Amino acid sequence: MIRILPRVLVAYALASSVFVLSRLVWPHAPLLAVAGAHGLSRLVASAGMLTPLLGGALWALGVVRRLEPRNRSRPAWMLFCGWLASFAIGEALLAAYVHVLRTAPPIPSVGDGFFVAGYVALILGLAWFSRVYATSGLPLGPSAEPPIIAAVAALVLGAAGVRWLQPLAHLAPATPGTVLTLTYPVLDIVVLVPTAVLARITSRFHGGRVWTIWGSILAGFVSLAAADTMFAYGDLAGVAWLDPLTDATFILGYTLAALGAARQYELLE
Amino acid sequence: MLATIIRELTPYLGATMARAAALTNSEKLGLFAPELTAAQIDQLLDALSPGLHVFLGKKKTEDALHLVRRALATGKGAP
Repeated sequence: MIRILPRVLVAYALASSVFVLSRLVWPHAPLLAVAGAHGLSRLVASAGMLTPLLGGALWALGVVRRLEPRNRSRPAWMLFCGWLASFAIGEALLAAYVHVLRTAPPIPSVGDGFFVAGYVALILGLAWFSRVYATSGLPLGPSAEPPIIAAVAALVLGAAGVRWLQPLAHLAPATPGTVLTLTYPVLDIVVLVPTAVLARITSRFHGGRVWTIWGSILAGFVSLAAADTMFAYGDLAGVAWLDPLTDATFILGYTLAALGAARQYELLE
Repeated sequence: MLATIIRELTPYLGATMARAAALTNSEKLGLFAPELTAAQIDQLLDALSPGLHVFLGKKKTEDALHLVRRALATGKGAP
């Protein structure tokens, strides 16, 4: 039963994404013309994001419990679990605004506190993974390679971030909401720096189970960076048609991260 | 013998890393003979163990290395 859960999660994510994307590819579909269909679509999107976050947090917690207390990667998995749990609470609070209070969540809202705390846990966790993996004793390349990759990634992603996000900063007034909306893609860029280092390290495990775990997790981070950037464009530049695509990309990113945690959990059986 | 170790670790580490890990550690330990003694095999697997712990955890590492020892003992592996 436990082994089938990751497949159920993938099927659920696919179904949610297809439903959410139907707003984009077939906006005049008879099903979407029914009263309340838009609200249903938003509910599917919220559940589609919350489910992998909760599942991923539980799988990551399972990894922490299965690793022996003195394992060097255990604290990094704790932080990874903290990220997923914190984001799950944040998403639940946003969903409560939309589906319970029936109002658009304010920006910033109490949920943003959990998202920012989640980013801190994630960035620390990825830095920890990078450090522990690079010094694991397995032949993972020259010791100078990780810092060089981090520096190059920071330069390239920083330049790309300025190019993508600077126009948005000029489009909207400098309110706390605007700053926060732009902060998330910037934090994603910070996340992508250790992601690049881990991509290089774990690419050496290609074909093995370690690679399937990290390939999934790292692809999830790329998806989430794309989703946050699309959200910023949708919110600040008023590109409303991006909303379904943004929701589907969030679902994809959270699902991939959760699958990585599930595969690590299975590996430790 | 190295081929057996590489084959048993490949499902976890992938073929490239399994080969690199086995060869690098055997070179570090000065184990170049095609046939290794039981003590040398233990030495090599002990050297591989800390790196595997980080990725696989202690229990799965012990399971994987147990399978390597069993394959070597039963002669299932290539020389």
